[in-house]
This record gives sequence, structure tokens and C-alpha cells, in this order.
Amino acid sequence: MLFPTPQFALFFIPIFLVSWAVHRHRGIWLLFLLVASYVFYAWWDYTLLPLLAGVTLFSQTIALRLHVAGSERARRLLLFAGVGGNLAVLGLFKYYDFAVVSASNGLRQLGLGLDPPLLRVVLPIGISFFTFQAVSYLVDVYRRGTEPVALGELALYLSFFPHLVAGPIVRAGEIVPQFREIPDARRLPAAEAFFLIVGGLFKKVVVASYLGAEVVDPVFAVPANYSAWQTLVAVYAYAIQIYADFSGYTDIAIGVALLLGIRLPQNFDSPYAARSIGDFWRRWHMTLSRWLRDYLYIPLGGSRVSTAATYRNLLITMLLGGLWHGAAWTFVAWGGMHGLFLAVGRWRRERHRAAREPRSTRSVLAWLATFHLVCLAWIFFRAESFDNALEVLVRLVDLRSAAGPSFGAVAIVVSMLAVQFVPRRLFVELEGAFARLGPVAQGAALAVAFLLIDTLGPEGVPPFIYFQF
Amino acid sequence: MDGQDRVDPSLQPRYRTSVQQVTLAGLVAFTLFSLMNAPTLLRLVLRQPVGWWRSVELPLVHRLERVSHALWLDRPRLAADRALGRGFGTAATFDRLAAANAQPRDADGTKLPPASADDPLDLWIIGDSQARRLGEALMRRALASGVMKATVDSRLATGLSRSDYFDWPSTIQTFVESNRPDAVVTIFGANDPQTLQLDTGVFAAGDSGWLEEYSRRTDIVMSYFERQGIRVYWIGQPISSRVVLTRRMREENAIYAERASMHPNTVYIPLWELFLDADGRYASYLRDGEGALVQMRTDDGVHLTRAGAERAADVIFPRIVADLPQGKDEGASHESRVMRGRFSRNGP
Repeated sequence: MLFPTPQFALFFIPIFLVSWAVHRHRGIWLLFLLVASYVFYAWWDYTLLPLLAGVTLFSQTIALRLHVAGSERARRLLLFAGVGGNLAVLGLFKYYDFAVVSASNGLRQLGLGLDPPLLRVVLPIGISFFTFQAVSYLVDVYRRGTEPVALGELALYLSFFPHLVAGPIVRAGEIVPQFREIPDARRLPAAEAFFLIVGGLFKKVVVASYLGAEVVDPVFAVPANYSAWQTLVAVYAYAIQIYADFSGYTDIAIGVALLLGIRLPQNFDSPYAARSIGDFWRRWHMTLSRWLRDYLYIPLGGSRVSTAATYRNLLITMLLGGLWHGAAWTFVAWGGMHGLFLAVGRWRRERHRAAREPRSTRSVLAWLATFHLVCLAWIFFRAESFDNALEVLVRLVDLRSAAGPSFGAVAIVVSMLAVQFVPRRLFVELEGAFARLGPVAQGAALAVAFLLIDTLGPEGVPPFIYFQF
Repeated sequence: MDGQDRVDPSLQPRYRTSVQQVTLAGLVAFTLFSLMNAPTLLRLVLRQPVGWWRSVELPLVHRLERVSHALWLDRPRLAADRALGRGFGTAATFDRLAAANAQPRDADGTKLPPASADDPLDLWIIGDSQARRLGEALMRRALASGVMKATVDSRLATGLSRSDYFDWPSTIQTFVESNRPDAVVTIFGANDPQTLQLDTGVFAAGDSGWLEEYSRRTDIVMSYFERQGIRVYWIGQPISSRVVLTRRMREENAIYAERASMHPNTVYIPLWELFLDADGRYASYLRDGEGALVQMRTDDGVHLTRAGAERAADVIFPRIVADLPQGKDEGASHESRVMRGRFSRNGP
């Protein structure tokens, strides 16, 4: 059940009404949201419900034991078992076939023919997100950053339908306290929620769908058919497509959760306005960035180790971050490139600091360089293989054809980049103007916005890109 | 700018609304949107598989559409759809295609015209979502050949069963009349096993009435291309991981093969065997030409991956190349003769 579909609208309307009808009875409210979330997940594939429930029960069992364990050794062992168990589930479903096939093909190169058994299971939707949340819960309990929560609260935290399939990656400490407060039915941030939903729908249905189908997919499918300029615009367009697709999804998710009285964390902050790769990662998929920072980079030693070890930690973190996105070497390359960019950025910062030189203030150049490095890495992220990525790269430098890109593609790319620099105060003021309208006028404005989005979008919206991760 | 971008506390939302007001706004939005979008809602319901759910929805949406029309609320959407060229056909569009007059043309479709770099063979690849990757793989080969050019028209969730969902007969006729392709590659069938609602009755996929009608429609398309003198490569569906779908695809493939044998311009190319493992069963991973284990089918068990499409194209493209004129007396270009030699010796 995709967000931009009539099915989801028909699913959400009764959820909204019943949720607010029962919200004063906390137990019933939470149980209702939990059942709604499990129904939402079952809509994708009901056979996966035991997996979601199993991850919840396993994580809770470990968390409760971890909380009462006396010795540090026992606590460590339990943490290892808990994190290992969750990662094993993720690894089994997401990486087993990839690992076996890679090993088999590697051995074949050495003359050792093997036909290993493959699992051949469909990747359970959202598994990367709910297992990462379960890991963060266990680590937070181990660090005594949070107390174990009730089983029902944990189940709802892991399965809450707005963030279940593609994030944001929420921490227990952010959302469980909200489950314990009775939301105020007189003070709903509805204007903010509606703006998020309408904006998210526009980004996904109109921008991402158009760029994907008309600009990006054809070029990546047959690069030889396109000129360097067309290929360049397709690469830029992919940067915008994946941003519009993923941030569109999270905007809708956050807006839908707000309408239920729950605030999810911010996930994007104008990422293409970044002036360094480090800055980019503080703005792009922010909840994954902080997960990688808090549960991988810092445990590895972070930057409180030798310079060489810090660079190693950056590389390991980003390589694994790349692999998290998908079981393919192109994702590893994408992560590795970002790790390398971050390491070089850090080295430059260190060098400037040592020489007591002011860092370059040429922010336009810094922005240009950052955007193009991000785009370069996106080629590997989007390509179906290294050969495909190389084909695209070759087209970028093949200037024999002068065929130009379509005006529509350029206009959308430029507009979406320009929006990254619009002061946020303007959006808040617009939201205020909307909020001051009466409910009937608000409803009419929303209807017109939905109609416009539906008309401009394609017939049949493709799934969100991040659903596959 | 992303909606949750509120680091500055002064920018925190100060606008709060009661649930009652939100419910009213939502109700107005939902009602007004449904009325203004009634033509699209009707189209969505009509496109659903025939069944009880569709039967429940249809009268409701028809009523909504009538109210919308009476209040003139459907006009903006209808105007926008007209401007964007959106619409939908009916089962009768197959009859229109059957009656479409033949255009005078030199070729009879039993062989391909000469192809050269200056006058490349014009290949049109059409079908459901399977046609996308397969078409792209063929397009890459066509481009590399230097004597062919290809256009891919892949329409998600379409087929020959439901021309009310997507009107393939009209699309085919319009494209052929304006572009005159030299050859067509078609792949249909993955979405076709669904109930047909005809004047003569309602037929579930696999029923004798369904098979008869599907066979008739397949024949109409092949006959149209034959009358137009266009060479057709009709691709069979590969085995699927889904048991029922696989059974239906076998039936469809049998129809394609049988009908193709009655049209001298049509070559049926099966893909079934190509995606079986050593035990003759469906396999998502298969060894490629170099012996590497590669994922050939997507996780849905139906579609081809890029590698799978390459595997299929390895069979289809040489068949097209083999049909290019061979001797000088037949008008073969130097490039096509060279290419034919290369493919016949080494494969693509």
C-alpha cells in the first residue's frame, strides 16, 4: 500500500478518526495503532508478520535481561547476542544470496566450481529499517540511555506504520515518550502536516516520477543513445529524483504521523545546499547518518583515535552504510566514494588548521564541487552494474554529439536546486497563511492541490526507491 | 527546503488546530477532490480486475461521476486529460483494429528490408512491463549494430485482455500509421490472465471462452501487422515462479505459437526454456555465458533483470539479424552482411 494511492487514503481516514476517538484511553489507543500498523504491514505480505513480531519479541527478551544483568561481561554478551541476532536476520534475508553468489563466482575464477544453495527469498519490506531500530534500542538500553519499554510500546515503536517501510529511523527515546502522553486533540499541527503531505506528494508523484521515467531511466538503460549533455542532465536529474522520491516519502510519513499526534524526526535539510560532503551527510537521510555515527563510527573509535584510524573508521562506516542500501557492489562503491570524500575533506580541514590558514570562503565553488561529487557517486548508486556506471561516465566525456537535453528536465532540475536555497521562513509564513484559513477553505485548497498533483503525475506511480532497501 | 526543517525555535509552528477542524477540512478535501476527480476514479475502478469489489464500487463511482458532471466539477480534469492525450478504450477497439484498412506497402512482412547505416532498420518493441528491459537490451544491440534503430514502448500492467485499461489496438494502429516501422517485437501476457467481461458473457482466465477470445485478439494484432507488411517477432513469456500464473502463461504461449504459425510475417520466439534450471524448474539465478551465477529474474518472480533481458536478447536479436537480406541481389547492405556473418559465427 503506497502512500500516494486511494487505498492508503481509504486506510488512513478511519485510522485517523478512530485514533482520536480512543486517544484518551492510552492502552486502547496504543493497541489500535499497533493493530493498524500490523494490518498495514500485512497488506504488503502477511506472511512476513511473524518476522516483524519475532524481531520485536527477541529484542525485548534481550533488552529485559540486559537491564537486570549484573556483570559487565554478561551485559556485553547479551548485547552481542541481541545485535548479532538482529543483524543475522537482516543478513539472512538481504545479503545471504549476494554473499553466496559473490563467493561462488569468486571461487569459479580460481577454478573451483561450486553450486551453493541459495535462499531465494523476497526481501521483506522495511527490514533494514526495523532491524536498525531494534539495534539502536538494544544499544541504548546497554548504554543506559533508555530504560526497557513495555512490550506493546516496543512493538508499536518498531512497527508504527508511517515510518515502518522506509523510515525515518527513529530512536525509542524519541517516540516512546510520545506514546505515554495523551496527545492534545485541541492543538494539532495540522497546517504543518498538510503542507508536508502535499509537498511530499508533489515531490514524489510529479517530480520524481517524471524525472525517473522521462529522463533518468532511458539514459541509464542505453547510455550510447545519448549525448554528453543529455547524460549530464540525466545524472543531475537522478540526484533530484532520488531526493524528491525519498524526502517526499519521509515528508508524507512525518505529516501522517503528525495527524495522529506523533512527531517523527527530521530526515532531510536541503541536502543539495551543502558546501562539503560532511555538510551533505548532516542534511541527507539525517536519521541514518546519526545511526551510523552513534552505533558504528563512535563504537569504532570515531575521531578520538589516531589520524589514520579516524580515516579508517570513516571508510568502514561509509562502506557499510553503502552496503546497507542494497546487496550489490555498486552500493559498496557508492559508500566507499563518500567515505573517501569525507576522509579527504577531513584531511583538508586538518591541514588548514595546522597551517592556521583560513579555510576557503569561496562558497559557490565549494557548493559546486560538493554537488558534483555527490552526483558522481550517485552514478554508481543508480547504475545496475559497474559496466553500466562506466558506460554513463564514458558518455559524459564523449563530446561527439551535441544533442541537447529537454527543456523540461533542465527546468525541473534548476527549480528543485533553487528551492534548496529558499529561506525556510518563507515556507513557515505560507504555512501560517494556510493555517489562518477556515477549515472549509483549507479543505478546498487541499482538494485543488491533490487534483493538480494527480493530473500532473503519471498514471500509476512507481514504488518509492527506498522501499527496496 | 524540507518540511521538518525547523532548527530555529522561532520558526516552530505556532498554528494549532482542533481535531474537529482537521476532520472538517479533510472531509471537504476528500469530497471535493472525489467530485473533481470523478472521471479518473471511474477509470481506476473500470480498470480493476472484474470481481465483486469492482461490482460494489462501480455503481457508487458512476453516481459520483454523474453528480460531478451535473455540477461541472469534472470539467477541469477532463480538459487536462484531453490536453495530455489520456483516455481509455473498450473491447471494441480490437474490432476496429481488425477492420483497419491495409495501407499500400512494398513489403509483405515475410522478410526484412535491407538495412544500412544511412537507412537503418526501424525496430519497434512493444508490450507490458517485460518489454522495458527486454526492449532496452535489444535497443543496445540495435544501436551497436549500426544498421538498426529501435523504439521501446513498454506500458506497465497492460496487455491484450483489458483494452479498457490500456488501449493497445489504437496505440498500435496510430504508431504504425505515423511511423511505419520495419519490424515489431512484441511481448504480452504477464497481466493478461484476468477475467474478461464480454457481451457474450464473463470468462475467467483459462476458461474455454477466455482462450477463444484471447486467441481472437492475438490473431487480430498479428493479422493487422501482416496486412501492413510488417515483420513480427512475437516473444513468449518466460516461466514464472508463481504456479497459477505459470499455468496461464503456458496457455497464452500455446496461443501465440499456434496463431503465429498461421501468419507468414510472424515468428514466435519462446523464452520458456531459457529460464529453467538444470532440473527444468524456475530459477532466479542462472549461469551466464561466462559461467558466473547471475540473478536473471527480479524478486517478484515474473520480470527479467538486466542480465535476464540480455539472456533473452541473445536469442531474439540473432533471429532478427538472420532475417536481414543476405545476398547482393536481395539488396543487402555491406554492414548488414558483415553483421550477419559476425552473429552467425560468434553470437552477439
